[in-house]
Parts: sequence; C-alpha cells; structure tokens
Amino acid sequence: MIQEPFDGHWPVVAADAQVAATAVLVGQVHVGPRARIGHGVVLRADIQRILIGEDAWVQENVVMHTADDADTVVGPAAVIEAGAVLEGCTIGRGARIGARAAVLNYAAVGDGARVVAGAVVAERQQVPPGATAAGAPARLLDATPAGPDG
Amino acid sequence: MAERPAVPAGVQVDPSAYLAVNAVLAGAVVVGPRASVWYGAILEGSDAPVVVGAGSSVQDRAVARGLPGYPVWIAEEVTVGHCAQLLGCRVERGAVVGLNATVLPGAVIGTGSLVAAGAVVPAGLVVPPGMLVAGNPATLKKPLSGRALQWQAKAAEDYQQLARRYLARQFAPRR
Repeated sequence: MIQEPFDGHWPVVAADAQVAATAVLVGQVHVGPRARIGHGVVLRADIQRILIGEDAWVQENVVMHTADDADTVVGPAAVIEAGAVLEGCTIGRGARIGARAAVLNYAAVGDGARVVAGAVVAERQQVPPGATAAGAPARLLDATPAGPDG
Repeated sequence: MAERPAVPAGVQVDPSAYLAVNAVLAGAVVVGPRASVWYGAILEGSDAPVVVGAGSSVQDRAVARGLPGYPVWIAEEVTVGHCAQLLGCRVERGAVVGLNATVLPGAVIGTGSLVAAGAVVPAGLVVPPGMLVAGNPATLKKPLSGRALQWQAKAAEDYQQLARRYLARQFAPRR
C-alpha cells in the first residue's frame, strides 16, 4: 500500500484489513476491521475524510475523493465494484455499487440498495434503502415483488 | 518535497506542476505550470503528444492517450475528472470533463464547456463554447449558465491551490 499524509494526517488502517500493494491512501482515510481494498484503488482524503466500514469490499481501480464539505462514507459490508468512483457521498450498510458506476457529492445510497454498473447517481440524489438505481443520471427501478425465495 | 515519479526522456514537466507519486507519463508529454496529474493517472504520448496546459488538472486514474494523427491537447485551466478517458481529442480553456466521461478521437470540447459525468463524446464531435454535453452517445444539452461557468473557474483554481499544498508537503515515505 502507498500511504501519504496530508495536513499532517496519515491514513489509519485496521490491523486485520487487507489493502493491496498498489492501492494509494492519502490523508484522513480510515479503513475498518476486515475491510478489503483492491489493487489500483485511490482513496484521497485531502479535503474531508474517507471512512470505510468493517467488512466493506472496495474493488480494483475504485477512486474515492470527497466534497469540499462532506466526507465519503462507505457502510459496513458494502461492496464497491471495480472502477466505480465516489465523491463526497454516503453508501449504506450492505449496499452494492456496480462496476464503473459513479456516486456524486451529497448523494446517499441507502442500506442494502443497489446501483447498477455504469449508473451515475446525481448530486444530492437519494437512493432509498433496498432500492435499485440504474442509468445516467440514475433512475429508480420499479420494485420487483419478492418471490417465494424472498 | 514530496516524492515524484521518475520522468523519462521526452517528458517535459514544469517545476511548478504537481505529479502524484504513481502517475505515469510516457513518450511525448508536456505538463505546464501549476498543472497537476493525480494518483494513477496515465498520460500516454508514445504514439502522439499529450499536452496539459497551465493550471489544468488530470485527476486520479484518468487516462489521456495520443493516437497517430490525433494528439491530446488539454488547454489551460481545464479540469479532467477522476477516471475520465481522453483519446486523441482537444479540450479547450476552462472546460470540465466530468468523472468517468470518455472523449473519443477528433472531438473538441469548446472553451468552458462541461462534459457530464459518465458521458461518451463521439469521435469528431465539435462542442461549441459554454455548452453542457451529456449522455451516451453524448449530445449537446444546453448552454451553461453564468453560475455554472463560475463554478468551473473555481474548480480549476481549487485544484491549483490543492496542488500547491501537495508540493509543499514534507514527509518520510511509509510503505
């Protein structure tokens, strides 16, 4: 892992988190217990903080930055798929952000929600818990009735 | 001074520019004063030149690749967002290419224009000054308001300021 300080703050990584050798962490980044950070990931917390929850999985080449006045928060057990980009936004517990999707400043993706690959969640857009968002700009897909398997 | 990547022959970087430690610059590449190239960005000038003008930023994991007959020309005060892909195209002064956007060969992004996040600008599309382009394939959506143009000017200025703070850091590497 490549770590750099910013404004005197170094990243803080839980002892049992797994961070790939080519990932870059800058400034006020916190990586929680058992989180996994893939190769080529950039977590650049030079303006506000980046907080990665326990058991979260941040896949290859994901880039995270922040808003001027908002942290980027990835909830526990969330999955951020390869090539996704997050600005100052909040991703809920167990949510899944698809490959090469983007979530822009002040947006929120609720617990267990899904953003499909390539979607762009617009600034300040809210994806409710359990919902699915697709497209650029992202629209919520109609809820599919739960089948017998739930 | 912060660690800088090794700069191979053919690459010209102004001393006031900031290059992140794992940025890659290859072939004929010019990076102007107060410009910045962020973590994991790749400027590939082996087949045709890549020029980054004064005060412009190429953000994390963005790619600019020159193609035969199609150099990449990034003018002054331009913002190229995270993970944007610029292939043999021209981006004029003060324009913004949004994160995850793609601009294909021969396209021109006019002065102060904005390419929305995730948009794919088709080959050869000439975007006039001050326009919003969005979609896949991207089309002209509307002229930008004065407020949007001010925000774009601020984005370029903010990145120049940030780059100065990165250049001023002093630290012992920790791996």
